[in-house]
Amino acid sequence: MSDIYRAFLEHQTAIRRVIARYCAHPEDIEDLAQHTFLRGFAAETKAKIREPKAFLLRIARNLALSEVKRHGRRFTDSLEDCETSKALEDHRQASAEDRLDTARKLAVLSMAVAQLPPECRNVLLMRKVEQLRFKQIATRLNVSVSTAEKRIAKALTLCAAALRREGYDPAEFGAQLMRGASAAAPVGKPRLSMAPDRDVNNLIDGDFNE
Amino acid sequence: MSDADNKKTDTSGDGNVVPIPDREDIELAAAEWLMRLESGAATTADIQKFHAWRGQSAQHREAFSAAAHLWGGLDLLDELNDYAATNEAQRARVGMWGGLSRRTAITAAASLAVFVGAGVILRETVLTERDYRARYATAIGEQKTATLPDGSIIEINTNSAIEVAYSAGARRVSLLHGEAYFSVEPDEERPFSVYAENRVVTAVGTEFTVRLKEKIVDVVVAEGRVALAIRPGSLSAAAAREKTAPLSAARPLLELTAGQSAAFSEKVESLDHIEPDDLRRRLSWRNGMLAFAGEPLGDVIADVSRYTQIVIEIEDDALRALPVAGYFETGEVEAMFEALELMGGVEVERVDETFVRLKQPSTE
Repeated sequence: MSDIYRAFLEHQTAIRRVIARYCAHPEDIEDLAQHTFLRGFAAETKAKIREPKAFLLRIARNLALSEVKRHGRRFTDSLEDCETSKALEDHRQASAEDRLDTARKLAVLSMAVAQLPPECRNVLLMRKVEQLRFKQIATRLNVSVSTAEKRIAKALTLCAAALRREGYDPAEFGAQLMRGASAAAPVGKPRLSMAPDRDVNNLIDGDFNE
Repeated sequence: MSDADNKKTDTSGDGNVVPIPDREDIELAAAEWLMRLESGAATTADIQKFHAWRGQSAQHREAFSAAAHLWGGLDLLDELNDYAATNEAQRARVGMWGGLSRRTAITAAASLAVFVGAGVILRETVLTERDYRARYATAIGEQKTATLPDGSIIEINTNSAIEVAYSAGARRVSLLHGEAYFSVEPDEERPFSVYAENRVVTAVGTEFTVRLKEKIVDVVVAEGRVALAIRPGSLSAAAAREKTAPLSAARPLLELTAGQSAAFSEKVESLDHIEPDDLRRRLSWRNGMLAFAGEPLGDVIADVSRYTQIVIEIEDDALRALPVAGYFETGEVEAMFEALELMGGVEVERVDETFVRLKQPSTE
């Protein structure tokens, strides 16, 4: 299991408490907590997080604060406002539901991936987040392409198992193709990953200002 | 690829052979096959084995499809890059849940199935073992394998025609149009030559593909060496097969070895070295499938169009450049459209049965 995910599970209550200081709406708290995990996990895919708990709490506070800034006042000042602005957003974006769905899917998938043993998690992230080719993954791990294939295959099946364990049908997360057509990996422009020793802990501090 | 397969014969604790692999074994094998196809390391033999594996039962097919689906779904993890990069202060709430960044590549592994359709042998005249004449043609979307008396094999791609004329001193094949892959049995005394317009591709024992594309002849060598030459004058393919002018009358152009490809007209237009992965992809049509690894949509459509009567138009240039990755069964254009729509965010306008227009989504 990833350090961030473990810290998230262990300190969920503290995270929600931090958010609740700025926003009282239960749904907002839930969304922000989920987003806190995503931000933390995303950062973890780029660098080792030294203090996962402190890191997550800082993200949570920053997220809640930027919400407050965006609304110009504290959420707790007016619950109705919260509702109204949400309704406006929905109105503005016809497909808000779908998009929300996408973000939640990302969170669920990330949590499933976060549960995998490190060697499986890492190969999966190399392919899907860093967008490395199999050959590059094999080179980085100093294994054969065939071993890399097997490891990613294992990760994929464990990921499906994790989703089932959480009560989801893996098919829900599949590419929505019909007639036996199914999705495979994109071969896009490979992304550059951050240098592994880059201190992401500072990135969050940068936009924290109370 | 055999780890999961081997489990089928594993003995259980009490010594009984477990006859049917359980779901997890099939799932793992499915995932391993998918990764083998994904990595680009799949050999022709692998792909044949994959067909056999997948054909075992509906459960195998479903397991593969499910693995491919989830694998595609995991592309969503790409979004984590945005989450990691975004400065939270600038990311308003709407942005936070809003807009999934446009997919940068489309993927689809259409299920692979046995290609149906026997080529039409229009004329076959066996004179003697050494004299052999035949003509083969395929319709659009059709492929055909011809085994010749000397053991050489010609795999004829969609919408192609060839004529074979063997004699005591030479083995000649005329590519009238289209594309074919040649696996040539060695025979020092009878060189094997492929004539395409006035171009001649000669091999002794090797594997290569020749494609006549407008006035350009494309040659890809998978194994061994071939010699490219131009016949003086501009003999048509028909004339070439009737005349028995020795190859020496042709002007030698250059020699290609395995892993090289050349396009030539009166001169060499381009000469490329092809990586093994690319080579397999270029020849993937032989397995009834087309494989792409990030080629621009424009090229993909041009290639796919060779296998279908449907005319596909791409509306704008930006879309033409969209990188596409995936496996498609050669005839499965519909699966490709679905993939483009659902994963590439491409709008597919079905104007009528035979005309489809691809465009950027009209909204946004």
